[in-house]
Amino acid sequence: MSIKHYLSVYSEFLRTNVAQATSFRTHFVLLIVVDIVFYLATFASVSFIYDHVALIGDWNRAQFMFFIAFILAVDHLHMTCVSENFWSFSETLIKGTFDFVLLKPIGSLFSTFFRHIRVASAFNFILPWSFLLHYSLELGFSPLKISILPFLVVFAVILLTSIEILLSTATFFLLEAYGINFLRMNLQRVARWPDFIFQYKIRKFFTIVVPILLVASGPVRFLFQFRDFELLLGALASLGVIWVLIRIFWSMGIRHYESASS
Amino acid sequence: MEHRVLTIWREILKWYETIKMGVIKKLAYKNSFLLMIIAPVLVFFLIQYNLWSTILLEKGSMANGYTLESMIEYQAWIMMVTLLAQGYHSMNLSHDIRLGRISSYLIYPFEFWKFHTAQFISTQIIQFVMFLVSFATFWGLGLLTLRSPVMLLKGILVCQLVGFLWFGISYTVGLMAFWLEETWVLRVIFGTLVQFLSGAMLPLEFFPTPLQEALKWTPFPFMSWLPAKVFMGEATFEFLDIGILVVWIALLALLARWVFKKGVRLYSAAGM
Repeated sequence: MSIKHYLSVYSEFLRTNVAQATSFRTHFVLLIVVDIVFYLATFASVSFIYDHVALIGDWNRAQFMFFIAFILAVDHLHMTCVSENFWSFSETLIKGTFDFVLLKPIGSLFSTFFRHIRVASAFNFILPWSFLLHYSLELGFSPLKISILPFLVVFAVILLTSIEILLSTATFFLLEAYGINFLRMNLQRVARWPDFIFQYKIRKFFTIVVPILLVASGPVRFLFQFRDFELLLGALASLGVIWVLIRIFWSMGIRHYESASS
Repeated sequence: MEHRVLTIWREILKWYETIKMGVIKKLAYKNSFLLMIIAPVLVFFLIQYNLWSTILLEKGSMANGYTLESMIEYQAWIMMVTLLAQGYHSMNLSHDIRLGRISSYLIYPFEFWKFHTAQFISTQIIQFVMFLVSFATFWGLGLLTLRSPVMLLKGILVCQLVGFLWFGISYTVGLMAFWLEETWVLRVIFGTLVQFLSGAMLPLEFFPTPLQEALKWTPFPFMSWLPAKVFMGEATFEFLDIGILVVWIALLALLARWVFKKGVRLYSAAGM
């Protein structure tokens, strides 16, 4: 099936999601509020710490705030485009409605993880991206660095989503609604901090075994200094491995799926 | 008189059975329980431990009066407070309303609020056991210091009251399902605000002074900072504090009662 076909299906998904989101206005507004509260609390926490210390590791306030803005920009895209799908995936498996996903004439991974779009969150791009631009300028980023920034954010979203999809395949075998999603959210929490704050063994675990620390630390370190590219390279290699594993475990999962309703 | 005693006895039995059922039900889904309640608390502590170890790396260095040891102890007590006082209740409650399941509660001889309070108590029992296990482990590892048994008991008391306050807020938020399509957003907003403004993320001493002063007029410091400080022996928990917490709980109970009364009038029993 061609990319054009997938894009046309995605535009239909978007259209139905917009219609659905605008039907419940209070919920729509609350979704915007929840993101803003989260962004402000995260920025304020780091800012308050820097009121009392000059450096965290080797990073000054501007560097750390740039990192936070970067991960929040990643979080924003992730929230908008994929996050809802992980919750609905576990529900479809438990209720047996995953049958309908399998019957559709389109890739099951695509219709599982790209079906739901949180339209309200899309409006919140201003806050993380203004912080990201503000701290890019404060750090004296060149136009080249600023121009590759959006690509690195998208790359980080792809890596984060891929790790989460791989983790979610465990739902096929555990048949458990919320636990895996809570585990996924905890991994996101770990990814929200730079790799250097973690002690050696933990850092290695979250860099090599579960490469969640590469999501933001890889691109941000590369942006700070182009010669600091090892983590970004590691992120690229991890992405390749994860995609192979997703393919294997997704197929195994579908074979294991027993369809609760039929 | 005998009839009155029998009625009270029956009421106690209903509470006992509902609490017992709640414990059994929660323990039936051990993986979910561990991943939903225990894992977030542990991950939060892991991050805080590593973050503050990086900030206060050099021995003897201090940030706003905190050494590495005192900050790690504060964070460890925050973890204990979270285990003891914060649960997830409004999730099931809003599902009950949205999916029309409260119709059965309306005809049961055990009211809706009683059922959910009993469920809350069942969670508290499990979380208390988790607290004891975690406390023994962290104490054994030297991450926590037991100042005195009185301080420990005072800390547990304040956490139980905070647990009721937390439940009161979650319950009222859950009741908003009478009006809203989804209530999880309100729960997340509340959780984020509590984590930030209660001193769970970083001690309140790190906040700008005007914000610290403003927070004194809210229940937020009671929800993490004060219990942790009581456990650490750095704050007393006097009758006035108990009074303030009890007043907040009573106000929430009245609000929840009012919201339920208003909401149930709108209720149309979807799916019946």
